Amino acid sequence: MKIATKIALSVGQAFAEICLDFGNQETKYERIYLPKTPLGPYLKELRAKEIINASTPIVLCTDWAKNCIQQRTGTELALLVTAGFEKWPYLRQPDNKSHFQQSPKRVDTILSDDYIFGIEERVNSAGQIIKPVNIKELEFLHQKFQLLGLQNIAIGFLNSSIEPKNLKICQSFFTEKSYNVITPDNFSDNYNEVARWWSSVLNTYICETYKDQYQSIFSDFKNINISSNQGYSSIDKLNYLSTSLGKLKSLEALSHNKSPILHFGMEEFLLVLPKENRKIWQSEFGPVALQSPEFQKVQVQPNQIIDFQRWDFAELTNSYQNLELGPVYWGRSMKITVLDILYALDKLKSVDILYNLRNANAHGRYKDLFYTLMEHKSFDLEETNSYFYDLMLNQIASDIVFYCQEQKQIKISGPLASAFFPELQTKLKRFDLELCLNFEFSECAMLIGAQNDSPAT
Amino acid sequence: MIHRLRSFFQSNNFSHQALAILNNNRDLLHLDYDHISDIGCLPEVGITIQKYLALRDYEIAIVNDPYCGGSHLNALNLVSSLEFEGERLYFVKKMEFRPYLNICQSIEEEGLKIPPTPIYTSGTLNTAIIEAIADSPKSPDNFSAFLQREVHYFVQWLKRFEANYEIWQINFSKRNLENYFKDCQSKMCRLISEVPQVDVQISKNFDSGEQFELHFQLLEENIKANFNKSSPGKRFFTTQNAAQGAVVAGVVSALNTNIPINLGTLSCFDIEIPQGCFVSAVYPQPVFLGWVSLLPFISQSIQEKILENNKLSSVAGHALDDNLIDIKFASGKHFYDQIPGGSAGSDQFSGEPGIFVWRKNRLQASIEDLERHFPLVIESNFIRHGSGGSGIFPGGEGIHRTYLLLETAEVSWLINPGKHIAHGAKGGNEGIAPQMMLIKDGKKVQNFKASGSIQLNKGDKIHILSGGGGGFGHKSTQNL
Repeated sequence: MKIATKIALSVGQAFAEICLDFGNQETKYERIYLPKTPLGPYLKELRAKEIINASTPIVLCTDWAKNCIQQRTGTELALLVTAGFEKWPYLRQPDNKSHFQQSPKRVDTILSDDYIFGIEERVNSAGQIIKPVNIKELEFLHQKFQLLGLQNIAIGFLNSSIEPKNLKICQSFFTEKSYNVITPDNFSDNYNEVARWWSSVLNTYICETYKDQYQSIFSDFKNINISSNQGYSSIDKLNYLSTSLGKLKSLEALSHNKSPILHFGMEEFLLVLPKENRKIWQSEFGPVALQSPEFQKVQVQPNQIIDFQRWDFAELTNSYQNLELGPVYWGRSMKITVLDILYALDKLKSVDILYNLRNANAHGRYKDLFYTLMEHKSFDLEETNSYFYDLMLNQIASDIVFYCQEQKQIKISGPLASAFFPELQTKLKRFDLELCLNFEFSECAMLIGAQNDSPAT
Repeated sequence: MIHRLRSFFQSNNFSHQALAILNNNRDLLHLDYDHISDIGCLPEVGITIQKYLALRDYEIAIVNDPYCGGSHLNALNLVSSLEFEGERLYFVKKMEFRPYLNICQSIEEEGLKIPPTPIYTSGTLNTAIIEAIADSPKSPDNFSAFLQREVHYFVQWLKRFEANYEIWQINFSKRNLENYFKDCQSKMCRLISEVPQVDVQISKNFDSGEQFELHFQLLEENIKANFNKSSPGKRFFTTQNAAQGAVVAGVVSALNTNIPINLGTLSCFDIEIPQGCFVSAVYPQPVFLGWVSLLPFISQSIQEKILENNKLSSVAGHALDDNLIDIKFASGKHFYDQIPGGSAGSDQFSGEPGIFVWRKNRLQASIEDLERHFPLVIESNFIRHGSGGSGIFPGGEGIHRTYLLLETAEVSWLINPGKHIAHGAKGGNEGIAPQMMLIKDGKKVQNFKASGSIQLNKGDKIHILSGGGGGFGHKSTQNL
C-alpha cells in the first residue's frame, strides 16, 4: 500500500471531502457522511491501513467554527468594553425585519448581559488616552471571574485600533492570571469597533469547542496545518474564526482570481467573486473584522425548506434544515427541501453518496408530505417539481446576473454542479459557463494544491 | 405566472432599499419599503413623473418635492423607465440624505425643494443641473458625490432587472398583471378576514392645537380609514400620500405579514382624507415634523387597535423615535442623530431596548465612525434603566446617549413633540417619556421645550434620553 504524502480535508456539518495525494500527480478523492463515518475513526482506519502515518501533513478547512456559532455550542466568555457601552454590542445587532412587525426583535447574541463588563478607560479618536486603565478595577474583576468560573475573555475598547495601550495593559493583566484572552488588536485599523469586538467575541466563543474537536480527532498527528485567512497557519494564532473561510479561499484560488466561481457544494451553494478580499465578513451578528474572500450565498441552498407560507402555493422559505437530519428522502425528516426536489427529478444520480443515502420508501413519503403541504388541493406532482426546479434555476441565474454583471466567464464547481449545469447554460446565454477540472472535489483539490502550485495563499 | 411574478420581484430587490415599480397604467406592481412614508409616497412619485416627463429607457429624473409625491426634502427619489415588449415600467428608488432639523413655518425653509427634473440622459449626467442643486446653501451634505454614486448603482440595477426579465420570461401584459393583482387582493382579503373586526375612533389632542381624528374600520374583507374630523394643522403636517402609507403600515404590522404591497393588496384599503386637515398638507406647509412624529403615531395607533381587539395577540405602546438632535459645528460640520425609543411589551415578548420600530434595516452608526468624522465624543450609550413600563412582559428600555462637544456649536433638538408616552396594556405600566439635559458651562440645565436651539461651547455636554415602551400585563397576575 502506498503512503500518501499529503492529505487534505474539507469538513462540513454532515459531509467531509477528502483528497489523498500520493505524489507524482496521483490523487485519490473520497467523500464521507459524518454521522455514519465520523472523521476520527475514518482517519484512524487510514492509519491502520498505513495509507497515512503520524507525520503525514494534513491540510484542513472545517466548518467547526461556523457550526459552533450556528448551534450556539460555544464557551461562556466575559467581554470587557469601554464603560458606558456595555449594551452597545447588543444595540448594534441587526433586527432583520422583512416587514413592519408587532414586536420587532434583534438577532440574539451569544453574549450574556451579565458577562459584559465596562472598564473605566477611554481613548479618543485622535489616539489620546483620556482615561487610563485602573489596575485595581482589573483586580476586582479577576476576583469576580474566579467566583463566576470564567476562563475566556474577549476585549473590545473604543479606538483601541488607534491607541492600543489600554487594551494591552488589560490583556497582559489577565493573560498573566492564566486567562485565555483574545483581543482584536491584530487587525488593521480599518474596522470600526463593532466589527472588531465581534471578531474577538466570536473567536473567544468558539475557541474551546474548536480545540476539543481538533484534539479529539488529531491527537495522533503531528504536522497539522490549519487553513486560515492568511493561507495556512498554525492554530495558536487564536484566529479560529478564519478557519471557516478555508473553503472560500480554496475556491477563490480555483478561479486564479479571474472569474467568479459558482460552487454547488453538498451543504451550501456559494458564489465566490474574483475581487479583492473584503475586509468585513457579514455574519448573522452584523459585520465582523475578518478578511474574507468576496462571496455571496446563493438564493437557493440545498437544505432550504419548502413550505406553504399562506400563499396557496408552496415556496422556498428562509429556513434551513439541519443536514444531519437531512431531506425527506433520507427517511427521517418531515420537511421538504431543495435536495428533495432534486431527488424527485432524478438529478442526483451521479452523486453517489447522496444517491446511496436515499431511503427505500422515500418517494412515497415525499409525495404524501407534498400532498399535505398543498392542503390536499389537486396538483400535479411532476409539474410542481418542475416548477420548483425552474424557480431554483431562475433564482441562481438572477444571482449570477446580479453579482457578475461585468463578467463573461463563470466557473462551475461542486458535487451538485451536474444537477444544474446544462440547464443553467441555457438560461445564461450571455455568459460562458465552464465546469472546473475536478469540479466534484473542488474544495479539497485546491486545498491540496492538485490544480495549483500555491493553493489558497 | 402569478407565482413566477412574485418570485421575480422578490429576486430583484435593491439590496433592501426602498423601491417602487409601476406600469404606464400607473398601477403599482411592486414595492420594497424602508420607512412608513415609502408605502404612500414612492408610488405617487412614479405617477407624478409620468404626468410631467416622458422618460425613455435608462433616463433618470430626480424629485423630492412632497407636493409631487415626496416624503420630506432630504429623501430624494430617482425615477427611471424601461420598456418590455410594449409595456413601459417606471422605477422609483429612494435615496436618503442626512436631514437638517429645521422646525419652520414653510416647506421652502425646510430645505431645497426639487420638482421633477431630468438628470441623466443618453448615459450622461446633467452636470449643470447637479452642480446648480449642489451649490444651493440648502442642498443636502455631499449631494453631488452621493447622487453620482446612486445613479451609477441605479443604472446597474436597471440593467440587471432587464437581464432577469429575459431569464424569468416574465410577461407584464395587462391581463397577467390583472390576475396577479386579483390574487394578491384575495390573499389580503383573507388575511383581513382572519382577524376580528374593528370599528374604532382614534382621537388625540396635540399641544399645538391640532385635533387628530381617525375613524378606523377593519371589516370583513377591507379596511376603511376616515380622517374626516381631523382639524386643520398648526404645527404638524403630513401629505395625504404619506398618511395613506402610515395606515397601510399599521395594518401590515398588526397582521404580521410580508404580503407584497401592490395595486391588488392596496385595493383592500379605502382611505378618506379631506382637504384642509393636517394629514393633508397643502403647499407651503412644512412636512418634516409630521414625517418624524405624526406618521409613526398613525401606524402605531392602528396597530394597537387591531391587536387590542384580537384575542390571539396583543401589544402595549411603542415609544416613538422622535428624539432628534442636530449639531452645526463652528467648523461647518453638520451632525444629525436620531435616538430610538423602546418597543412595546406584548403578550409574548418583552420590548426591545432602543429600536426603530417603523423603519426597516436601520443600524445605528458606529461610535468610532462618528467620533472620527465630527468634533465630539460619545461619552456613553447606556440603556435608560427603568424607562420601559413594567409588566409581565416589560416595555423595552430607552437609550441614554451623552455627547461631549469638542467645538463650539449650534445645537437644535426635537424631543417628543407630540408629548407621546407609550401606554401599558392589560395592567402593564406606561413607559417614561423622552428627555433632554445639558451640561452647559459645568451646570446642569433641563426642562426644555419640545424643540429649540441653543449655542453651546467646547466641553459642554448633551444628554438625550429616549422613551421606554409600554409594559404588558399586570405583574401580580403573572402566576394566576
